[in-house]
Amino acid sequence: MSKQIQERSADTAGALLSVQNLSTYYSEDETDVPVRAVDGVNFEIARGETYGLVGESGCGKSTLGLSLIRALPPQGDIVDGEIRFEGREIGQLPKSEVKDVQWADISMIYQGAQNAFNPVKTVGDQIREPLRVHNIVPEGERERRVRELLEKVNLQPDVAEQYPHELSGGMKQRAAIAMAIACEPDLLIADEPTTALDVIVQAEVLNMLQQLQDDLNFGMLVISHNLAAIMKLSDRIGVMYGGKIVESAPAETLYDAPEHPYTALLLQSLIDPRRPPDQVETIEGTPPDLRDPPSGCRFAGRCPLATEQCRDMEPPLEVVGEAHEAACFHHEEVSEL
Amino acid sequence: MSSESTTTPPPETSEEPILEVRNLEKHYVKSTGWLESLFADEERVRAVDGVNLSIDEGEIFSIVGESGCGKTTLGKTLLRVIESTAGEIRFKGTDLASLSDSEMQKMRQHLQIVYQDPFEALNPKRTVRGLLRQPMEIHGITDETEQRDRIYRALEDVNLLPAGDFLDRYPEELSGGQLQRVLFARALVLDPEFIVADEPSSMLDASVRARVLDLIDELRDDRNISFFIITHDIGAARYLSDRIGVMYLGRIVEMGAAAGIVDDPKHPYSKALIDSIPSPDPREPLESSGIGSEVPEPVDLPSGCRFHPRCPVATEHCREADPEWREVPSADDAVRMTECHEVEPKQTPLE
Ligand SMILES: Nc1ncnc2c1ncn2[C@@H]1O[C@H](COP(=O)(O)OP(=O)(O)OP(=O)(O)O)[C@@H](O)[C@H]1O
Ligand SMILES: Nc1ncnc2c1ncn2[C@@H]1O[C@H](COP(=O)(O)OP(=O)(O)O)[C@@H](O)[C@H]1O
Ligand code: SF4
Ligand code: SF4
Ligand SMILES: [Mg+2]
Ligand SMILES: [Mg+2]
Repeated sequence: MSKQIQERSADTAGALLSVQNLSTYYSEDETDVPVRAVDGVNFEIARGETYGLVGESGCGKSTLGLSLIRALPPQGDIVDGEIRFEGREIGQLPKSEVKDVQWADISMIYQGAQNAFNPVKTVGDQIREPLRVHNIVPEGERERRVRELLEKVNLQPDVAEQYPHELSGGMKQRAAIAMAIACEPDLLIADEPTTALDVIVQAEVLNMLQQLQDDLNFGMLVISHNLAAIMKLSDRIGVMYGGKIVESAPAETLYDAPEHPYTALLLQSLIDPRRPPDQVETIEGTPPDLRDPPSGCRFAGRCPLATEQCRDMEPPLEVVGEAHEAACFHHEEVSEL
Repeated sequence: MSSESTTTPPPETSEEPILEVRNLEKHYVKSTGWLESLFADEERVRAVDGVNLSIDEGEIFSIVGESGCGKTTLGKTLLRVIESTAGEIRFKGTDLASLSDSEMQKMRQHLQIVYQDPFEALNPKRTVRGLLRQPMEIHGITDETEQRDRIYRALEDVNLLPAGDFLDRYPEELSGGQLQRVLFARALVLDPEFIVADEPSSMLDASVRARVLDLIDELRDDRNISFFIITHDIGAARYLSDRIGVMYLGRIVEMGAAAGIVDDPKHPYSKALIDSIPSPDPREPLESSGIGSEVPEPVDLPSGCRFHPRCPVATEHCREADPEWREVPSADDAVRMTECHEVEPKQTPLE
């Protein structure tokens, strides 16, 4: 245990973002049993690094992203933990100071961003908005900056005068990216940047994100259900299950030798057109109820390796290899799955 | 134009197809400024431009293609959510265009559509219970126990469990994938016979996606529902469907058995589409399709084959003559149809 903590604080020193024991719950009011959407999460992102986040629908990925940028809906609250951005604690910043962080330090492409555009304002006006709020570019130059940004994401500059409904899904997503990088953030969170886009546009959007990152050297948190995309884009990948990160490793390691049963099963459930359908395995059972999660390992109810111990105790996230952490008592047996 | 009902392996019961579509067209007139309209003819967007198709009872048919190629428009036109500009749609033999509004309204109970975008399609002011109850109210299913049973069954079907936990939530209290499944459940409460599902799995992770696709398969088996699935996810289409149609600029350019299309595509566009699917191996770089990513708008279509400006194997002939829709040989025994000059037609054996 102590080894783990030491290692962690060692590489935390240079981290762009460091998240310790973060918990975010949703509740209507005090009497409501909270949804523990994020429950004790630890991870870091280095400058220029891409961290991919995958996991079952509803496991807390978007909530984690929204916590980092402090854009949770009113029901959501960070109830515990620390978010350090360039060494500064931002998890408990008062609302008035949160605005300084959003867009300028951390920006986010929200899930469903294609619909987040205001239908009655031109694309240019909307991209100009963060520039105005942060007053990064003098007013007279904003027009030019907007055009520059559009060009960066391979859109014609005259898209600035168009309304969102005039753009295709792929174009809207690129406009959302332009908006997200407008203030040159140090950390970009992209929540499902390629869903609802066809394969050809997907590849293009992903290549674009990678290129922008090479140019601007921001750290990136990419949330995606597209495993193939995430594998290619990420330096490291975190796998989330039931509000927790249960495994984290470099993409190659995770792909070749996962050490958490959920990760292994997730990879087996991948539908790849090159694989005959009968090789696809689905994961039986349902995800844990985040209002009342089981006390031991949250995956125990669905895990083929589960034992008595798993139901009684919660497995800690432990170092299992180089840059590789997993939270499973029986991680040595995962390769046999 | 040959009859496509012969393109499917004959179903066990020799019933007529559940849905039959002939020469379906949906053209939009593009609104141009008055100044432009002085100088140019009105522009037509040929979103759907001559589609022929027949779906058997209990069949799962998927349509794949780039965004903007007309998939959603086709799906909506099939169920008269938007009106076609030409062509014929028969549901179990009934010409849908001949139905009055109120008859069509009754028919809708059997014909459901799951919209592409749950963020857009679900009223944010209603709870899940309200959202699922609404279609039943519209169709006169008002008995409370009946409603309750249907709601629970639908939520269980889409794996939103425990169902009771979701009933009082508003859309903003659900994750993207959960929303997508609520949308699906909304179609199921009416016990329809035919479902058009527009990108039903795009927001689901691999394991849930596989389950939702399995669910579709189960619904087909248990409730004999036929499906028209719109997707850009070719993996899902292959996994799930009996047949796949590949759509490009308003037309189906290739159609055949699902595995056959993916393993051995004939049309250059199908090939490009399938080549662009990334493999999950992190060491392999992201491929590019080789045909660029800009789908031209279906206005001012080029002469000849509409794919020729992007086609890597186009010839002079392709620029001039429309390719014919015809049967071509394929490795699987299933019927394969495509429209491309460069694919040799199947030789009909001499009697
Ligand atoms: N405003 C809210 N009030 C109550 N519960 C919420 C709220 N928003 C989200 N939740 C719940 O929190 C959990 C995590 O949601 P989140 O949106 O973070 O999931 P996700 O991992 O991003 O899923 P997906 O991949 O489907 O987008 C889910 O169980 C969801 O139902
Ligand atoms: N209401 C509309 N008015 C004008 N053009 C439209 C309308 N709806 C769709 N289109 C156009 O029709 C074509 C097909 O769109 P769509 O059916 O949404 O494609 P897909 O679902 O394959 O992405 C696109 O060029 C699109 O811009
Ligand atoms: S700790 Fe036990 S139940 Fe949890 S993933 Fe490991 S083997 Fe499975
Ligand atoms: S007809 Fe010609 S242009 Fe069209 S797909 Fe075939 S080869 Fe390409
Ligand atoms: Mg999400
Ligand atoms: Mg569509």
